[in-house]
Amino acid sequence: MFAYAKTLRDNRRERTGVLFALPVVLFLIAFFIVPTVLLFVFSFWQSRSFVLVPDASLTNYIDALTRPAFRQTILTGLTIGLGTATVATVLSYPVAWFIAYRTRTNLLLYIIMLSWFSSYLVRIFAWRTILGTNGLINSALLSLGVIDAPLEILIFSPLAVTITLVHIFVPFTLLLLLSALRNVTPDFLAAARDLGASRMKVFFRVTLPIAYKGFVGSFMFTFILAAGDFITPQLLGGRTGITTGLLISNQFRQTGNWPSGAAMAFILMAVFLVVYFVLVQVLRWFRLSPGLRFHPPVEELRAEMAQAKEA
Amino acid sequence: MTFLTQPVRETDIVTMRNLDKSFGTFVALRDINLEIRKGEILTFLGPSGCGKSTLMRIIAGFEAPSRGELLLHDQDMTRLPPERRPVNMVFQRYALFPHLDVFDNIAFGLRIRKLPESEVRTRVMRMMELVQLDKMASRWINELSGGQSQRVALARALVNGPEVLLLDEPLAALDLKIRQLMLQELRRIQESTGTTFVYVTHDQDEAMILSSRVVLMDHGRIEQVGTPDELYFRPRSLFVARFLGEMNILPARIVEASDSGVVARFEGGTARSATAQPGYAREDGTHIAVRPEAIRIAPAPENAPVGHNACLARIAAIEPIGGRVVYSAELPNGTRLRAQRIRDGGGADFSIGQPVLLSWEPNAMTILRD
Repeated sequence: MFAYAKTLRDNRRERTGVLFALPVVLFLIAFFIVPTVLLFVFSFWQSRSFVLVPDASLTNYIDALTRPAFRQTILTGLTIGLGTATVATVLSYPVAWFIAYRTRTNLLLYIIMLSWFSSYLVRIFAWRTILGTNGLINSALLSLGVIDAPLEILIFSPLAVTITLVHIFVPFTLLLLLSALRNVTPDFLAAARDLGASRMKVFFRVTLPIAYKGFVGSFMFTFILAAGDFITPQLLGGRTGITTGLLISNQFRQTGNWPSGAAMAFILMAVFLVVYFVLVQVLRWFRLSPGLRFHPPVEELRAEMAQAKEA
Repeated sequence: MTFLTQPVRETDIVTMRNLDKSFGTFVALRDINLEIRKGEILTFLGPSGCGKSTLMRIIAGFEAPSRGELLLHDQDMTRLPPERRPVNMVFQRYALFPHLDVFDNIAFGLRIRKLPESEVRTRVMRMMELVQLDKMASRWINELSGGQSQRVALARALVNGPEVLLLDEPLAALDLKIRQLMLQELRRIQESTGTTFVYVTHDQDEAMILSSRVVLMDHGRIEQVGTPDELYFRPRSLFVARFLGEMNILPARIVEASDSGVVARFEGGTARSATAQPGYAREDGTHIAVRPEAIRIAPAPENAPVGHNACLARIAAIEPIGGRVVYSAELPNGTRLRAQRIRDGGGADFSIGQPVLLSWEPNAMTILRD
């Protein structure tokens, strides 16, 4: 099985590694893999008057996908998710850049991290008072005479949800980007400048590919959590801000239709996977991913050179 | 302070005029006046913190001088950003891009300049041949050894055809054997491309082996510029004399000054210079400097006058170092002079405690101000 002889020490090291990994693996199997498989099985079952009936039909999937309301929630979720992920990543990049290359202290980081110390719900309600009909922004604009009536778009809309989620996720994206930027040492940036790259090109040709995992990670992390969130949409989304997550939680908690909720959850998962795949492909297409080669194999290059010499 | 305004010579690629650089209250460079000549290997040598790296970063464009100007031929490039300067740099820790393979690392600069892909390929292939990496084109950076990384870094900079190639302690991260090999490689590559090299190092052997001219720096100032031989045999300051190789330095006082030379008295003897030493007068304090390999040792004569450029001493220590032996000889006042002899097999020629006569040729000695 192994091409090299394994020493006793290698074996011991391997066993220690397995031992350390075991608790998490068991935890994930018990509380993630098994429930997911169960849920997947349920998604083909039926629910008759709150009782699960085993079945093997795609009815739940077809029902969900043919309901315009469900498709609308997917779109709303995608909008909120992509909006939040984009804004949070774009906003935290300059801060991460500043902390990575311009300061020697992490003070700024700690200040931003401080927002984590307050509860998620408290922060949502704080945004309600800022964005609400009689909230900070509306009353300020009203008293300044900029508007005649309160702006309704500010609260109970996908916009309100996005603003709040950006606020919640910025510390996450900042941390992920910062740790990725730590791999992009100032030497790399200087070398790229030295080789003729403008600041813009340095970002796209060096920073982004080297910190690729940080960028994709912080974007996808935020996207999935934001698009699947159902608490913020419930409190700030209003009628236009209903997301799939909210719909799914309703299926489980209020309607009691587990199979339908499970099918919706798997559709949402598929959507997330598609978004991830598309993101990765787009980055590849624009040659922003690491590990790409931009030249033919050496033999071909040699042949090319030999031909050129003959001609 | 005088500002130099002579026209730039045609062979001068880069000219530095009255460059100062300070970081806050720390003065990193003071009044640097220097030119980089076409095709030479110019070495910035000095102890750490002497300003050699800062000076290189100013040439590359990563730092701006606080005062003074930097000319490329006769054009001012003091404020030009690094990406618009026709100079390229080999970084101390190489800074090779980990997301690209060897070929694409070397092609980086050419592709940024949007050269046609066919030309990029030709030039990269030719450069890989020059640095003997043609089999490594598809290797990832983390699969390279130190010496290979060094070659990639060199190729990545050289392929752009820079007017000046800056090398920032390029061999510091390599072990001794590879360092010696790379030193020869650097020479070969420099000769075959004719590129002007500016080489920063704190290692005087590297500087001596490689350089056309050495710029010896200390505390942000240029102490002396010259060929390795000029610096070694004709140091112009105590710092230069002490920095390069080994040097015996004796405080002395001028007792005679004329157009034909000076005579200086030190505790234990007198020294007479071979040539005129302008600017010296009687009673001036000075130092005389003689290299250990320039000092001859002979058994002390009995009751004979010792003459100029000689003194009586007693062997105090013997250090055999492979093919040579270094004697420490103590003068009557306790000062020790080191004298070196090549060993032709057998044991030591002198024994500890033996009285000896130390002497040297007048032109092997340097008379130095403080």
